[in-house]
Amino acid sequence: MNESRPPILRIRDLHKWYDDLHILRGLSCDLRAGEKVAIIGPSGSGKSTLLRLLMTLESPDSGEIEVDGQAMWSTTPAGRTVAAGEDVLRRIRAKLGMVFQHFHLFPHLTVLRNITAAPQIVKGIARDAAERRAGELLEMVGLADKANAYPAQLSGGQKQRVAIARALAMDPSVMLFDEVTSALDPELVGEVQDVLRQLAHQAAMTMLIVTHEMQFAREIADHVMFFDAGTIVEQGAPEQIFSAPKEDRTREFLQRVIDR
Amino acid sequence: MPPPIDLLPSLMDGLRRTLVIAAGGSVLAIAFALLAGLGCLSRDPIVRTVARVYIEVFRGTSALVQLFWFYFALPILLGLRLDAMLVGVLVLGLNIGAYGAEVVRSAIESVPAGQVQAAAALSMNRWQTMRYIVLPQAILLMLPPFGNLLIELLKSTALVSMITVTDLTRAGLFLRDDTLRTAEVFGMLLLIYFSLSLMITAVMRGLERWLSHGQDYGGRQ
Ligand SMILES: Nc1ncnc2c1ncn2[C@@H]1O[C@H](COP(=O)(O)OP(=O)(O)O)[C@@H](O)[C@H]1O
Ligand SMILES: [Mg+2]
Repeated sequence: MNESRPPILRIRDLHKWYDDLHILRGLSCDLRAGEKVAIIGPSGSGKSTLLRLLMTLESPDSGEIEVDGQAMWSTTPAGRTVAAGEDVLRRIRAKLGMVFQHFHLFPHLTVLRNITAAPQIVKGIARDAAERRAGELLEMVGLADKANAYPAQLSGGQKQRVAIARALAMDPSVMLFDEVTSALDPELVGEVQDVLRQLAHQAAMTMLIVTHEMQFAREIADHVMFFDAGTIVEQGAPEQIFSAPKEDRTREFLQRVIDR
Repeated sequence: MPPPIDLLPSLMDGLRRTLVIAAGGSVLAIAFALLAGLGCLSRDPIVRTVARVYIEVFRGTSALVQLFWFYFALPILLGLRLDAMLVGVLVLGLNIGAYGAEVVRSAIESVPAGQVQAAAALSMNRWQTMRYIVLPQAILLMLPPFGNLLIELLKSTALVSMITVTDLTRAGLFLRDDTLRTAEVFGMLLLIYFSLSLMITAVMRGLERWLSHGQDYGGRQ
């Protein structure tokens, strides 16, 4: 591992308020390229908010975010938090892909068009090249036969696999997964997790996985962060977090979710 | 009683004018509705204000007064005399367009926020998101209320008889004076307006069916 390279994701003292709710309270962390990180923690602790900020779907109130050495949010000498210019933001955003809890497939487009839309529209990739790539991705997620189906004709697990293929079609180097199996019937969780496992074999792919499946987090991640009340309470190797948590809050949380 | 087919020829000129005004007004109304509906959602506060003022003014005053204003007052105030047919098309387009703008706005707003977030996460900009993701879904929601508005527009074309245009309604009034066959003439008018609005409904239904499957971002090929 090349430690001299800047982290692919560098977050410093991030704060986010919703009105008088202090959601993110001085969050800092680094992710190295290729790292698979699981984020666990009670709901309402700000996990989704962090991913939305990374995806520039929302703005932080203060703090710094760097992606692959490029500043997305930075602090001016006067102490103001400012976004990078629109073209820089666009370049940064292209390095990130996101998969949502509720899929958000485009219901008016076929599976194939869901996947080829952004490459064609945003990157200007030719239709046949985009379709060829979409075909490979559908093959990878096991849905090659569903190319011409509409989202409404798919099961939840199939929808989520299409959503993963759709994000991958933009060739991101960091993938953000926000509780991607939480909205699924229990018997469909496995097929989506299988796709994530497969992705995790790609050494270059950085993955940030918010999940409530502790067993899965332990298995797939090489680093686990425990979130509570807008900060990282504890982080470390999966073995350490799950077998020998140092913090009381981590222990209590694990106790609660394992009891359930 | 046999249908009074013999009355039809005398109504044809009026019917033709009514159709021209209804068709022209519809095209304008859809254009104004899209412009003002999108304008309401613009990031630019000036654009938003212009759109809101247009919508409130044209919804808040009657179409008849608007016709009088454009036909009788503009020539006095600005020395601008417009053809009565043109005023009819323009005013009905502006008037129904103002209602249509609210239809456009609320249809766009009812596309789930997750759709916009998913598009943003795929690096689409605001325009691409609107064009390829939001509008195609919103248009389906717009069609039924738009159908109602176009029927409303058709019925409002009768108002242009008040600014000297001999439309279907006015032609009917003349014909009644000439023939004194009141019930038959007005029965004929009812029948014609009703058939036209049935046609609008059928066209909108067809559009809805056509758009609701095989929608694609590259247009149909
Ligand atoms: N757009 C918003 N406006 C106001 N409050 C919000 C908004 N989004 C999230 N919140 C609140 O912020 C808190 C953290 O939310 P979230 O980041 O979704 O937590 P998690 O994903 O860890 O469950 C929650 O209490 C939620 O109600
Ligand atoms: Mg969440």
